Amino acid sequence: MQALELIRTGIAENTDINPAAVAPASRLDELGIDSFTLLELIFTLEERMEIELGSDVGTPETVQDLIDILQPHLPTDG
Amino acid sequence: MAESRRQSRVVVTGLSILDPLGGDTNAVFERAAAGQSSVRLFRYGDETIGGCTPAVYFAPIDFETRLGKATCRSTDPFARLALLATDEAWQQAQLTRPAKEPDPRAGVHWGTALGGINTFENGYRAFWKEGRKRLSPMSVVMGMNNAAASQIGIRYGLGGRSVTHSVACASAAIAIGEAYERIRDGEMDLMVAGGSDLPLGVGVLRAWDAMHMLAPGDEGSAHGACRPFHPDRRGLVLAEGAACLVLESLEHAQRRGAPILAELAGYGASNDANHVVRPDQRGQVRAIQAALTDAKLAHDAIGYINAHGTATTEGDAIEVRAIREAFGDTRAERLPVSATKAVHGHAMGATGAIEAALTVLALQQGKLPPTAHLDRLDPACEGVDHVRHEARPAPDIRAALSNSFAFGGSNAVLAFTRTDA
Repeated sequence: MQALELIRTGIAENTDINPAAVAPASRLDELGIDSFTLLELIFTLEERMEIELGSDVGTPETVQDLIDILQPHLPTDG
Repeated sequence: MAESRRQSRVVVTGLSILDPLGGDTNAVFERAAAGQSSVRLFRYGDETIGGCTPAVYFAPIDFETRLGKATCRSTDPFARLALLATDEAWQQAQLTRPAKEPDPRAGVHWGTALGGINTFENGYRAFWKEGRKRLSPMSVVMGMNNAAASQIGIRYGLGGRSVTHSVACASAAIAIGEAYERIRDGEMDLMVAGGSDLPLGVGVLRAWDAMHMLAPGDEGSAHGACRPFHPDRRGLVLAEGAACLVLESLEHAQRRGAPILAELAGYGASNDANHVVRPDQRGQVRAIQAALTDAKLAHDAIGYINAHGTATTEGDAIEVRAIREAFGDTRAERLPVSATKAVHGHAMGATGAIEAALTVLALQQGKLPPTAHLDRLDPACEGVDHVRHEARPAPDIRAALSNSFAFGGSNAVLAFTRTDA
C-alpha cells in the first residue's frame, strides 16, 4: 500500500476527517490533527507497518511530511 | 468575601440515568417503580480465566456515532458513558453548548470508584498475555481517573471546577454533595455532577468474588439475585452504569427559565473512622443527621429514603438500625424505605447518582419505587416501612433522602425536596 493510502486509512480510523480530503499538500493542523492526535496516528501507522519510528519523526506539518517519514519503511516493490 | 459565603438554594434542572435496558430516564424510573430488574447473567473472561455472575451490563454501545472517533480513541468507556449521561441531563436542563469561552461559574464534580481500570486491564493483558511491548500514546489520558470530568468540562465549557471523587460506593453521592456546596456557598452557578463506572473487568470481578460478596445466580435466577433486606440475601450485584445531575442556583435556573425538577436541600457526610469494610451505624447516623440539619428538615418531613441497601447480610441490617436511631423507632416505623439496587445493581462510583436521580423522580412523580424481590423480610431489617411488591403512591411527599455508604467508611446522604407544590 502506498504511504498516502496508509495515512488516509489511519486518519479514518482515528478521526472523523473525511479521508478523501487528505492530500499530500494538506496541512495537518488545518485537517484538525493536533499534536496529540498525530501521536496516535503515528502509533497506528507503526503498528500497521510493524515498524518503530522512535524520535526520528520530528514535527511533521503536512501530509507530505508524513509520507516522507513513512516512505523509507515501505516495501520497494510497490 | 461576603459574596463567596452567600447561601444559594440549589435546584436540579436536569438528570439522566443510563441503563442497559435502554429508554430515557423516565423509562428507567418506570422500570424501577415496577420492580423490573436489569440484572442478567454475565459471562466474562476467556479460555484461561473466566466465569459467569449476575450483573448489569451494556450491549456494545455505538459511541462513535454519538461522540466522534477522536473522542472515542482517547477515552476509556467510563468517560464515554459519562459524556452520554451528561448529554442527556444537559439536554433535559435545556442548556445549549457554550460557543465561546469556558464559563468560570460552571464546573463538574464527577464520581468514579474504578475510573479507567479497563484501560489498565487491557494494557496488562497486551503486555503479559499477548506479548506486546508498546502501548497506545492515548493510554495515560484514557486511564487517568479524572478523564470523565475532564471530558465533560471540555465538551460543555465548564471553566470553574473539575474535581473527581473516588470514594468507592459513595463516589457519586459525594460528587453531587460537594457540587451542591459550591453552588450553595455562592462559588458556582451551575454544576454537572454524577458518576460512571464499568466494574466488570476480570480482575475487578475476581477481586469482589474473593470477598464472597457477589450474589450468585444462573440464567434463570440472575434477575432476582440482588435481594436487599431479604433473609436469603447473598450479596451485591455489580453493574455498569452512569448517571448525571445538572445542579444550579435557584436564581440562575429561574433567570433562564429552566425546568426545576427538585431542590437539593441538604448534604451530610461523615466518616466511620472505624473499620474498612464493616459499616458503622454511628457514622451513618451522623451523615443522616448532618443532611437533615443542612436541609433544615424535621424528621417528619422526610417521606422516603432510597437506602444504600446493597444486599449484604451485615450492611442492610446496620443501615436499618441507623435509620431507626436517626429518626427514632416511632417515626422510622412509618418511614418508607426501599433499596433500588435490587433492579439496577451496584454501579460502584455511579450508584449514588443513579439513586439520587431515582429519588428526585420519586419525589417529582409522587411514586416510591419498591425494593424488588422482597417477598420475605429479614427480621434484622424490621423497623422501617419497607416499600415492597409494587410502587407506592405518595402524592403528598415533600422530601426524601438518598443514602450512600462506602467501603472505607465514607458516608454521604443527600436530601431532596419538592419544588412544584
